[in-house]
Amino acid sequence: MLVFTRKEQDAVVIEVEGQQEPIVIKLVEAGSRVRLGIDAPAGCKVWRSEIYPTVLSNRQAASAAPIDLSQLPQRLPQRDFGK
Amino acid sequence: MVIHTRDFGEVDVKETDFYTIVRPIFGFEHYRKFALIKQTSLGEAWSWLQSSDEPSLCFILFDPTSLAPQYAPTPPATRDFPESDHVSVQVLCSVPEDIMAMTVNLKSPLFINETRREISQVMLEQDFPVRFPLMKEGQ
Repeated sequence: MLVFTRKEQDAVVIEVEGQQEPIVIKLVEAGSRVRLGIDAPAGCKVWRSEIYPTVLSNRQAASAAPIDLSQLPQRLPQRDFGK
Repeated sequence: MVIHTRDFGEVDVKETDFYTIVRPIFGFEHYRKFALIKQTSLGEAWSWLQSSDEPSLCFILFDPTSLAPQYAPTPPATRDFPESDHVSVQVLCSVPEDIMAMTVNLKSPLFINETRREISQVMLEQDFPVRFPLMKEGQ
């Protein structure tokens, strides 16, 4: 992982092969939390990293071929959802 | 209004029966209008969230409350979910080739505001799994 030290208003520029426009990430405001600004060309999608696993899971959920749910057992096993 | 669907053919849905997406389904931000389709022969736990715009976009929903009372997420205390509204929870199912290996996303359920016919995907704070196997016993 590339790690940069930036102060407020500093940015990093990311060039993507084949893309005219680079991605720019700017440190807008530093504090106990940090505000990041991201400029990305159309087609680039940006998500908070904690959401990304759900994005991938949603895509998989959407891509299923037609499912015959009647194949499922009538009664699902009792599960413990807690951790 | 008749919508074209890959899995159910042509479906006639009353305009007032559609659901509007308030907080987008992550990764599917452009899809904001869905119909909720049930097939009662499969019981109450299963339903389908069919896009009104894209025939092949159809999510399988599972009602988790029927299975485990421990999983009872509450909607965020925001304007979209006033106490007086009737809100239910559904989770999205991912079904691979082996249907018995299907998983559900407990981390980011869909809150369905039945009163307003609005749906939001909300990422919960608790450390629930994104891919929870529904059929198999715990790992």
